This record gives sequence, structure tokens and C-alpha cells, in this order.
Amino acid sequence: MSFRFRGTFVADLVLAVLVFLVILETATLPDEVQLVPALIARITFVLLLLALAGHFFPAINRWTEATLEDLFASRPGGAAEKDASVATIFRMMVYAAGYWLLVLYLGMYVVPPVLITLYLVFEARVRVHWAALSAVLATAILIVGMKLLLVDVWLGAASEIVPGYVGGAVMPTF
Amino acid sequence: MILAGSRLADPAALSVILLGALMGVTFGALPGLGSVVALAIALPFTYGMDPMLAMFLYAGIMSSVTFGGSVPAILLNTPGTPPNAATCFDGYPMARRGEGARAVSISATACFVGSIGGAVITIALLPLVTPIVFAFGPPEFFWLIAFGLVMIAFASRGNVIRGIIGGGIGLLLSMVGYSEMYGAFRYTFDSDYLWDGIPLVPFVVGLFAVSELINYSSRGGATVGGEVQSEGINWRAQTLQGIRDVLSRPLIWMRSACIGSGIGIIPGLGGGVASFMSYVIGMQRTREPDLYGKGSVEGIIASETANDAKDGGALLPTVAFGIPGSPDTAILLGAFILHGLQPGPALLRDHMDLVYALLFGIVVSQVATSGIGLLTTPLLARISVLKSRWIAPFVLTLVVIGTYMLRANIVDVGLAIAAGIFGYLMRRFGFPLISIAIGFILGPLAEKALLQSLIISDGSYAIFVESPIALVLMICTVATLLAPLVAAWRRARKARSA
Repeated sequence: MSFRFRGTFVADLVLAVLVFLVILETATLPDEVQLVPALIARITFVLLLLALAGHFFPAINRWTEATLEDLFASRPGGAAEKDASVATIFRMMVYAAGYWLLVLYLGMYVVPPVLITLYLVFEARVRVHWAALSAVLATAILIVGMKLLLVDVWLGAASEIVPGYVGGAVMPTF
Repeated sequence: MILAGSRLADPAALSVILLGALMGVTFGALPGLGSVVALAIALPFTYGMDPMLAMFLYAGIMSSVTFGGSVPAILLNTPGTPPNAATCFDGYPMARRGEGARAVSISATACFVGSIGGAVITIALLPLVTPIVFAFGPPEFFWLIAFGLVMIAFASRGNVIRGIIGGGIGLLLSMVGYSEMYGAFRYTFDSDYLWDGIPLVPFVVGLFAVSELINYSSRGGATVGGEVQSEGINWRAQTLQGIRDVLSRPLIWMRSACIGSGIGIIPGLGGGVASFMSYVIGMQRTREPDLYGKGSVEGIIASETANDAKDGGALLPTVAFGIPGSPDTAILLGAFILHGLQPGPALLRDHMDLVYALLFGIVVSQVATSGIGLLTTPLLARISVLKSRWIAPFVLTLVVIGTYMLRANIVDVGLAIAAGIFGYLMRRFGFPLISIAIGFILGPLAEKALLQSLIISDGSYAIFVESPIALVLMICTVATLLAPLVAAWRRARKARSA
């Protein structure tokens, strides 16, 4: 028995807990409605336990690793497959989530050009004027596309800042 | 067939195919993107479009990505998409000895013959498949979906258990919302938004496009290194030579097209297996095996033809049974549902024109792609040296606006981003996204088939083994589940005897 604490272990554990909660929630549903989800959740939970056991007993993994693609395909090598640092990945996730939150509150006229420019300048090291020009151009094309397709541009859920452009949209129910 | 063929004369159809081809070539040439991302991004934009035009757009993207991916594989030894990796083996050595244009031309022509081969094989098999499809009832469909899910998990890289867990999680996510069969809500947590379930398009777009975006933008740097030396090369003569190279080897591209189509039909295998298997078989059958890996013309033809032929083959299980043959067709399945079309017997009966539209679209798009490819090789090579971080914010903006446009609901955008972060974490920890997506798409169909079967049989589970088709599919599913164990046992026995 050998064990090394890794991210995969945490991921398997978190998923196992979540699926277990799904099993508990499923039990509260009417009988007919719970049939399929209960079956799937239980099978998934058992497999997650097996995956967790694989962290302690690597022999389990060796018994489940043969896949067709491994027989024929190899992973393309080079820098493209290099893993990024956790900080960089986290920064990108925050950027994506922040992008949505800012669009949610400030709308599509302001946020995309500003955030594209900021990303290009600070992450991709593009000169400010080129970054701003390409960001404004890309946003303009998309906004014109939306107008042509008669889709209302989202103005942002913040109170109205620039009438008709920034703020004042009605938040959909969640 | 005539209707679909006649629509190709429509300038709008040709424009859409051309747009799809350009999009596909561009996304294929950019390492890290590929057809799944291209299709996922295009998906919301096609909402409200004439379904046939949408099919032409998807066909344009699907058929052209492979060629796009072969360009950096040949010129820069960096496959644009993973299935193009086999093309590096011989394409790059050819480029190094100054025959880059010849290799690209071989790839363009091989893609062309591969697409046509795949489409012809699919058209030939469609009439044979149709009666089989109509023999399928709910129990048979249930086992087919189960087989598709298991097959996809088995075909994914890494651990089979993780593949099946991914499928299970996708299935569970698909259960959120209102259950049509029994009129009850599940896992909505009092959210109005979740009443109709997790919306398909934002989820799939986020899962593939946003997770890929996080993946390549966080790695940073240039996608490829080095520059292509094109001075002093007679591009035109090489291009013509490349076309002749392919056309003078009909047996090789016909065999590769058959391998590609055959692998495409099996759910989940995809272009990677098709191109490598064709390459390996080509190496075993050639009179000049020593040339393989050193710039063999046959090697490029084998890998690229099979890679493109798989698109036609993968359409067959997608349209006939609603079981996608590859990640691209998984997105396509979502597109069918988006346009109110249910793949399976009803699609073959009522919308055969759309199936032919896809096949014809693939062929026409490939003609356009090959033409564009042969003319624009130097430009494509420049695209592939773009830094991934230059692309990332634009792709994210496309995702944000694309997912919003579908229902003009800003919460959908949040869902796409959340699905992207979830997808990134899942793939990072070894759960294949394709299993999650297939589980999510097929979940409601599987539940419906299971419950309908039980209603028909008055609650008896014997219905699942009563018909020969259901029995065969069940045996196939169980055998697929046991295959890794058998392979591991054989490996262990071999190791012991050695």
C-alpha cells in the first residue's frame, strides 16, 4: 500500500462527497422519479470509491488503464503539453469569472473592450494602442452582429450610468 | 438527396460552407483549438438559422479542421489538433528537406479524397442502416446508449473508471430540472433558472471552449517555435507534385478511407485512432517501410486520408442512433437538438435531406478547403505562430456574446463560464470531457428509453434481454467493460512469463 497526496485524490474525494449528497437528495424524490438518477448516482459513487482506493492500491489503476487510443495515438509533445502553474491557471479562471461578473453589472458595451485590452497588455505583452484598437474592433463587430440579428445588447444590471449603454438592464430571475 | 443537392446551388449555402471552411482551417491551424472548440463556438450563433444552412456550416467546419491542423504539423512539427500528430512523422521531415509545399499539397489532396471516400461509404451504408434503426425499440435504444457511453469511456485516454465516472456525472447533470415522464422537479434547489434543466448549449460551449481557453492561455508562450523557410522553393511545382503523389496511389487512399470510415462509425474513437491505425497499417503493408518516419509520401496520405474519412463514418451512428462517433459529432448532436431535430429513426424518416446536406456539405467544403489550402499555405503557417494569449480574450468574448445571444439570458453566460472552470478541473484530474458531454446529452434519452421499456413490460426487467438486438448490445456493453481487465490480465501474464 502506497499513498501520495495529490490533487486527483482531492478531486476524487470532493466528487465522491458530492455524489453521495446527490444520493441523499435523490432518496427524497418520489419513487418513479428517483429510479434512474439513483441508479446512476450509486454506480458513479462506487466507481469513485474504486478510484479513491486506486490512490492507496495502485494495482487497481493498472487493471483499468488499457484504452484503445493509448494503443495507437501518442500525445503531441513539446511546449503545448507542458502543465501551467496553479497561479497562472487560477488567474485565468478569475479573469473568465470576473469577465462575466463585470459584464453582468456593466454590460457589453464597456466591459469587453476594456478587459480584452487589459489582458492583451498585461498577459500577452501587446502594445497598448494595438491592444485597444483590436479590442474595440472585435467588440464593434460583435455588437453590430447582435444588432443585425435583432438581439438586445445586455446593458448591465447596475443602476443606469450611461442611458442606453451602461446599466439599467433588468436582471433575469435566478 | 436531390433537395439537399439543389440547396448547394444556393449562394447562401455556398457562403456558409465557405465560412465554415475558413473557420475550420483557422481553428485547426491554431494548436490547442480544433474542431470541437470551433463547433462549440459556432453552435449558439446558428440558433434561428435555417437548419440546412446550419448543417452546411457544421459540415464546413468539421471537414476543414483536419487540413488546418496538418499545416502546422507539417511545417512546424506541431499538430494543430491531436489527430494530426501522425502527420508530423513524415510531414515535418519533408518540410525540413524543403518539400513543405509538397507535403501540404499531399495533405490537402488526401483530405479531399478522404472526405469524399468517407461520404461515399456513409451514403452507401445509410440504406442498410435504416431498416436496422427501425427495428430498434426502447430496450434496444437503452442498451445502445449504454454501449455508446461505455465505448466512449473506454476510448478516452487514461483510466476507464474515470471515463465512466465522467459519463455518470454528465448523466446526473442532465437529470436536473423538470422530469417530463413523471412531472416532478429534481435538483433545482428552488431556482427558477434550473426548472428547464441545465441548458445544453451554454453547458457544452463552456465545457469545451472555455476549459480549452483556460488550458492554452494559462500555458502561455508562443504556440509554436521556429520559422518556415520558404525562399528559393518552387511552391507551384511542389503543389502539383503533391496532387500527383496522392492521385497516383489510389489503393493507399482508398484503404485509408475505409479504415477512417470504419473507425469513425465506432462511437468515441475519433480521428486520433483513425490516423494512427491507418498509419500503422500503411507501414506494415508498404514495400518501403524504411521511409516511414523520414518523409514518406504514403505516411502522410495514410494518416490524413483516414483522419478526414472518419467524419463521414462518425455521422452514421450520430444520425441513425443519436450516438456520436466522435467529439465533433457530440457537438453536432447538440446542434441537432438545438434545431428541434431528434437524431434516430425520426430523423432518418423525416429529415433525410439534412443528413445528405451534411454529407454533401462535407464534400463541397473539402473542395473549398483544399483549394484554399493549396493557395494560402504561407499565410496559414503565419497563423500558427500566433501566441495563444493573443487569441484567448477574443475567444472568451465570442463565448460570452455567443451564449448570451441564444436566449438573451445573461445567466447562460455565467453557466458557460462555470461549466468551463468545472470542465478544466475535470480534465486536469483525468476525467475526459467527452464522457461528461455524452452523458449529459444522452442522459434524458437513456432515462426515457429505460422508463418506456419498463412501462411496456409492466415493470419487468426481462424486456432488456428479450430481443436478440438488445441481448447482443448488452453483451457488447459488458464485454467492453471487461476488456481493460482482460487486457491487464494478459499483460500481467506476459510479464510473468517473460
